[in-house]
Amino acid sequence: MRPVAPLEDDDNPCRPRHYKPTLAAPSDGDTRVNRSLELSRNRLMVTAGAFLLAFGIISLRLADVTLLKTPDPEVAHLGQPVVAKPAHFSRGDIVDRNGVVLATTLESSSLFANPRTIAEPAKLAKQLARILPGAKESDLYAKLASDKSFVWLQRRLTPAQEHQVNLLGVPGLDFQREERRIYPQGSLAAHVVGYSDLDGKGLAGIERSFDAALGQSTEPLKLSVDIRLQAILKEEIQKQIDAFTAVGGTGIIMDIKTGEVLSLISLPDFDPNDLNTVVPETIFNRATLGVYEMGSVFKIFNTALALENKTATLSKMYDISKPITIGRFTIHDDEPIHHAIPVAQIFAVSSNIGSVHMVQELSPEIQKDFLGRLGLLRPAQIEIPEIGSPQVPNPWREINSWTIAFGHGLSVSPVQLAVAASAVADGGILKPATLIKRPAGFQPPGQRVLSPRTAELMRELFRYDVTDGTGKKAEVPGYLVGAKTGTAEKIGAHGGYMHHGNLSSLISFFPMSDPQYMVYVIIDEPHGDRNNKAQASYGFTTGAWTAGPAVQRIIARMAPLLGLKPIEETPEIHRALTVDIPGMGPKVAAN
Amino acid sequence: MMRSSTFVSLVLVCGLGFGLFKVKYEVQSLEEELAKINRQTVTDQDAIHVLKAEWSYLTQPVRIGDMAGRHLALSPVTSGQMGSFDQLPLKADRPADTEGGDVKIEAVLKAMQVASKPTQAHPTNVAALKPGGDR
Repeated sequence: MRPVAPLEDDDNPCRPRHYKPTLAAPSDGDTRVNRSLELSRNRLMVTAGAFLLAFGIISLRLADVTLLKTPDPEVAHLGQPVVAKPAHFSRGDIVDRNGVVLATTLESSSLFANPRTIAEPAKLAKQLARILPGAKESDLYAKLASDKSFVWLQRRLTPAQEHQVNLLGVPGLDFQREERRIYPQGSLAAHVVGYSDLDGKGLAGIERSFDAALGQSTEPLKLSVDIRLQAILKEEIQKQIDAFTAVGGTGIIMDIKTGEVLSLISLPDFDPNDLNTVVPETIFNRATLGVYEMGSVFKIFNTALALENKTATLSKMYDISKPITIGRFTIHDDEPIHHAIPVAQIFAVSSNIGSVHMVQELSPEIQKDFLGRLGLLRPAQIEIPEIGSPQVPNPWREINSWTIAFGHGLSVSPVQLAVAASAVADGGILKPATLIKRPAGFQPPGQRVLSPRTAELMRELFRYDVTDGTGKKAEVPGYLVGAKTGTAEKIGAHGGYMHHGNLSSLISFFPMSDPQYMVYVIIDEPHGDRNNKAQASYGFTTGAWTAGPAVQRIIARMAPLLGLKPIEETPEIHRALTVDIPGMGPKVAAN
Repeated sequence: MMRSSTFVSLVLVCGLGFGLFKVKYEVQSLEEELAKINRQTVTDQDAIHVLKAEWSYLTQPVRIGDMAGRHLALSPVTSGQMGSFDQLPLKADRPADTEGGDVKIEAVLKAMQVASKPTQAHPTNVAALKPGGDR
């Protein structure tokens, strides 16, 4: 009988739970089975190993990518929060020194229509005419009833108009976003800021000279002007223009320590928001583009020149009793004095004859060289394109030298004169004028044009002109104002000087103990009228009577605004600012 | 052993799957919120830009001057009104009549004037400083 084959493990339903069969020696039949088992196990191991390796690589790579490697910037930003982009306009803002917006770009919408999709053009034209005050109903109807597929109805709607058009809910109307340059301060800074055309291209002023920079920058451009001073300067000049029915006027306020122009006004002016007001008479910048014979304010340079070259001292006497005749010209004084007077008084009473006598002791070359160093013979350097070239006599003969001594025969722009006179008042160092705000504590590059001693004497003269001379009208108690007046006869249309066409000016500095500010006002062709109470000038149209009161009011208003405390005129200050001439005037005797 | 690890893995897979799902949707909603805030920021920046222009327009010095003249009992500051702390009287200089009570402003102003007067060579004439003042 065949031996019963040992039961396979699972064949025995009664096997104990922990029964382990004893291993029998492999039989012949088993080896084949075992080999194939071995083979499949090996295959399994290889596959498992491959998978393990793959997963291992993946996890290593994962650790590498997530923990170790610094991410590519290109990929990294995908996971970063998106930062809001500020509203971008194609042109940067222009602001004043305190950040008041002078020019900005706003979005505006233009309305267009597709007439083919408009069902009731007549009704719509009526509705739109009510919303858009500038448009005529008949014009709108003609556009809406045409068979084009695109017509402009109105450019640059206000937000309120846009809202009303949207409320109509008519299909076929749509808006196109456009940009519009806005000047919120209107005409107040017109000649500084300038203006731009409908496409946002700068056509004048800072808008033109910084056209490219404004197009790239999103940061506002900060100017040196102060809009509050603009308002004061404009109001006071306008008052004088109105009172004297003058043709125009201009004024500059400058911080002479830094060269920053705090205010620049030219009247009449224009509104850069309304291009219809931009006409040649208004766009003309009298402060920088206009060149004029400035008259007696040139005696500032004439006196400084004589003092610097030591051909004169403040007390040197000149006989001014006789008019000077050269060829067919006669040089005389408006109010003749029939005896000799010292240099200080020639300055204070503004004697033409005395000034000519002073320059006669110097050669024309020295005078020309000096005025050249003061920048009066080359165009002004300032950041707007409207710059006038001075009219310099060529050749510069002796007769030219004489008339230039009292401010005739050489035409310069007011800004040129302001810079040169500031150099004389501020220690003899010429600093360039700027319309861009300087950082705090900025020291502008300076060029010495006068010795400190001459500059000191000139300060005394400026002050003397206000205490005892033609500049009395500019005095503001507490601010130690120094000034020089100027009245030039303008050249008429047919050549030759006009007897009733003056260019009347007054340039002032304060406080004279250490000049910080310059205020310069010019009134163009004032007309005197004895009976006009607003003039209060007894019919005079000189710089003292026209520009003087304006300067006085400007200083009185601007000083508190800038937080300048009145200065006590201590005996030391008084002495330092007093012209010291033996035996002259009660002021000198008092000390 | 095998069964419990299978079970644990299953739970882990479910948990992670659910977590991933939740995080994904959370991120999505946060991103939507961010985009909304960004849009709002841009709108507000636009509005600020317009408001700045409007502010500049409404605060034109001439306009403010006109309105102040019409509605306020104030006039521009003159140099006579400028002062400094040095001009304020010290406690020792305080007028006797204020002792024990409140300091009367008139008394202080008077003391200030007294303190500043003797050093002033040219006393400030306030009337002359008013715009339009005739000298």
